[in-house]
Amino acid sequence: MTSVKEELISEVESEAQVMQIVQAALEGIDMDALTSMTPGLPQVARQNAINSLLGSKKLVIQQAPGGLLRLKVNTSQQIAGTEEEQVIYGLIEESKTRGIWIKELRDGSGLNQLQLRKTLKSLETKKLIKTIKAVGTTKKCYIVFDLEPDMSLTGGTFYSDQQLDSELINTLISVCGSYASSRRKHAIESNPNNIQMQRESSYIRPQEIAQFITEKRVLNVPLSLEDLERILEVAVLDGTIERRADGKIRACAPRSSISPLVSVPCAVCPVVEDCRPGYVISPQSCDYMKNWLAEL
Amino acid sequence: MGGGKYETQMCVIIVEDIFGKIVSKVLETLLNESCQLATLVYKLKGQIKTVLIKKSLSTLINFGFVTFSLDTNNRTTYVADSEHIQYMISAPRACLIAKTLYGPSAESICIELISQGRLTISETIRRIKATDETAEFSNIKHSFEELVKSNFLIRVPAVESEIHGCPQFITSFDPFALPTAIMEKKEEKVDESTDTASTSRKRKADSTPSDADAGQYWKINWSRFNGYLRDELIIDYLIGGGSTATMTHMNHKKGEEEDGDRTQYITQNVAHLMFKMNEVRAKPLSMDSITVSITDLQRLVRENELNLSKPDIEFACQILVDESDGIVRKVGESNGGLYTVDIRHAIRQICRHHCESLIREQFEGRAIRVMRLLENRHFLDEEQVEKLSMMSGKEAREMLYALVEEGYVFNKPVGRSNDFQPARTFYLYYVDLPRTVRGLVEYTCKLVRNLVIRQRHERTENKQLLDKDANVQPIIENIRASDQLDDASKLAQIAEVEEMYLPGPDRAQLARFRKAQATLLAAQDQSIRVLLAFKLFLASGQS
Amino acid sequence: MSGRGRGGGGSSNTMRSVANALGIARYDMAKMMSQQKIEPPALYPKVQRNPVPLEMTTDMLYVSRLKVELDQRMRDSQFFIEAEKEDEIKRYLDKYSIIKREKLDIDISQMPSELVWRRSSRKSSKESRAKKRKLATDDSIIAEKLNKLEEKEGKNKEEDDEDKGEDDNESGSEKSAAEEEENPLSDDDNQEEDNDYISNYFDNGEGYGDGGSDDNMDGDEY
Repeated sequence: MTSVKEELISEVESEAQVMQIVQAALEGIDMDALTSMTPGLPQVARQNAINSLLGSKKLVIQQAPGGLLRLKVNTSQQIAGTEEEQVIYGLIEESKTRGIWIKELRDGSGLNQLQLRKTLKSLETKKLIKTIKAVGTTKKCYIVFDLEPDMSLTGGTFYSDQQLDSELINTLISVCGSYASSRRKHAIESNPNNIQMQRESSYIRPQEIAQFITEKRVLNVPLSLEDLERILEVAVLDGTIERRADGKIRACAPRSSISPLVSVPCAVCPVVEDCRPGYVISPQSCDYMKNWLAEL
Repeated sequence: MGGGKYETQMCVIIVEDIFGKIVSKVLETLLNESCQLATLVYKLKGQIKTVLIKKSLSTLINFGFVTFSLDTNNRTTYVADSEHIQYMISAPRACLIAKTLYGPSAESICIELISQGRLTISETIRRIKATDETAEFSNIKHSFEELVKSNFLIRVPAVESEIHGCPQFITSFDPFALPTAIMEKKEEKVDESTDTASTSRKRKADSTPSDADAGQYWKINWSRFNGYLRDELIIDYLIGGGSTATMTHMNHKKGEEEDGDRTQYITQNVAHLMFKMNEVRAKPLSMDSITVSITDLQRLVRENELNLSKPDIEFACQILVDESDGIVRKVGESNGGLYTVDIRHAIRQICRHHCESLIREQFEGRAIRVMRLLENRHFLDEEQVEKLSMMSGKEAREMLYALVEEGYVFNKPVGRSNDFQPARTFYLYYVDLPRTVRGLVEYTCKLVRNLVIRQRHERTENKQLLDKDANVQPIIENIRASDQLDDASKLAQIAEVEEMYLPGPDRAQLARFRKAQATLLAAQDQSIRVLLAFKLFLASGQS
Repeated sequence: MSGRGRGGGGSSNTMRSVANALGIARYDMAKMMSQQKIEPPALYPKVQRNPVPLEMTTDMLYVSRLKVELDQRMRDSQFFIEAEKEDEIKRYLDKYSIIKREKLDIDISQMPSELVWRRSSRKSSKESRAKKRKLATDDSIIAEKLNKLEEKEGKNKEEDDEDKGEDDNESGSEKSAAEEEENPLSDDDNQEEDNDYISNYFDNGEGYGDGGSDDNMDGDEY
């Protein structure tokens, strides 16, 4: 009986059956699971089917973190190169724009450090992959050569050479602030007797500022609205602008008053902790007090 | 009273400055620990004679700096009141308020009551007339009544009985009821005192018992003045710096100066009227919001004879709602529009304002950004702060550490595992305004302490010059008052005298000293106002 | 630490080995030491920012002017309490700074009776106390205790000396203790009454000095 069955299931059929199961498992499938899901296949037929699929590069074997081997559908582009190169390239390709770290490559491929280095070097010289340094870290990330790295790696518009461009940010914040305040000033001047109008026309849409920044060529690249929102968020924190429920913004009224506390030298005194009447550092002998009172 | 180290030091310095070392030493001992007379005598043995301790205590009680009561063992226990001592710094403010509201006589009354601690109405009037002969009895009496009616002055409770040698005071009485008989037989006395001005001082003490209102003492009602100061602080915050010309908060531009002034006039007055609604309240420092309608404001405008129309009032209310960070809000349409002034929120905003001002000077503007970010988002780790504040990791980290060190920001460790191993522990940063303000109270006290000490130092340094000046001034006054000289020769003589006793460099030094003194005192006054805001915030129990 | 370490050869060797263990090169060490020698830290380091100038408004001018007046009034008043000064040497200039204070005159009916210091008033209070004694006997005990304490104060010099040791940061203490030695058994009351209030107002600046007199303000005892 069994021999009849063996003959009945052709090689093609068993290959199709395995392929279908592996395709359904997105994260891949290990041998034990595959065996239990294909109870109709004899051990040998299954083995042959898998070997054939691997040979035709329809499937690949990957090492899961636990050391378990998993079968996966080969999604990566076929490249001319060694087996190792194909595996590594596949992993890098899978990481998309986020990139993949060398340690993850080692775990994913099961290659040793030396092999891995060699393979990566070869892929790099073939201009199939490139390295990117992620913002704020010293980690090297590998990414497919033709892809633009993700925002989380580069930090976005406000980063140049993986460094936050503080100068650019400060410029943008102050441009936003001064644009809004000139609009507010204008609104008040053109509606001297109508406070309702003064208010209404001092509110502006963020798009207007984005347009202004693009026109004035503050940036070499066009400023996306999302990037502008981040800048506006900070300007709100700084108290230069305020935002209404409908998303429109306007300049805050300048608050000129400062705390009287800061007009006393003790408020900014670096040695205030050591200050004791009658000691070396004391209110009587204080240089800061002396200068403060002399400058009146 | 739970005052901190620097609050105690500040109080001791304030009292030492006006009543000398002995009184301040007694006070200091009591500030450290309330105790009985016997304990006090024991603690100060070898330093201060008993009779002087008694005198000091009486003085301190007279000014309200120390209070007493019987403890469970029927011993009189003395307790120092540090709040009350701080009123000495705001004393001139109180006089200014009295003067602004009720005129020069009211100012004189406050000056007398502040410098004597407590007085009967008759004594007050007599004292004022002793220094200013032109003062009118009816005028002073009227001002006194006005101050009492508006609760700025308050009766000292009368002694009801004595238990174990400790006077017991009447508890249920109207503290604002005026006595009917003031300065009985005053005519003859006043005449006498003007006749023999030189002996008037001495006689005063003798005549006291014959007053009809003898023993009915009045004192400054400090909490009422503090309530007024609180309202002033909020108004200042709303419309920007009281008497300066830099009221830019309402943002009115040049070129329309008249309009600007008019708008300012309107908003300022309406803001004042809002507070007038609730001016005389049972608890002067109550944190309840003030609710006021347009109709109420119109009535107040009429009562105070202000030149404001209904549209003016509405206009001002709109500005106040628009520009007050949510302190003034519109809450309804009844009675022409209903508005509320959120006192708790206002005090909080004022405290935040002082914090931020300090941060700006101690660090930089971006530190405020971090502070506000944490206020809005409550708990953030370093990385989140870095992202949201758009600062580099290094900048954000350094800023956070500096803010933590100065007590503006706090952090708490969160362990990824329960062993709190450093590598697996990260810190969440957050803002705790009450905690920061508690620190700032002490800081402000230290600052005031330093200002008082420095001021005294300046006075000591320039003592010789001041003495010389004190000798020269009467001579100059004499020349000025002289009938035999014409103006030109008067000036010539004055110049000659000045040149002789106080040559140019001395005069310049004296002018420098006066300027320095004015600045040191003004800074004390301003700092005490800030301290009031801090303390009100803490008392309001907000978080 | 480094100051002491530089003293003897032995200790400098110890420091060398510590430095070695920490991986600090001999050269760096020497450089650090020489730097320390050259630059003592400034007492008042330079600050980047000066305090913001205080804008004097008319209000503030009024307040500061009145505060000067009020303070002076207080200092000249009966409430400024000073110990009697037995200054043997009368200086010529003193007569300019002597001020005549009013006698301390506080309505004692408002005060606890134990605070009464004046002889005449004490008599009256003793009368009233005698009446009260029937009601409250505790009073007499307190009064006796107080009297004993006062007597002790005069007699017990040894204890005074101990106190002095404790409070030697308080410059006033020695002075007043010394005074008491001069009149050990004095009844404070008779002596104080007449001449207590004529005294040098400015205390020759001593009371306002910068020196040790303020020490007690900043003690660690808090």
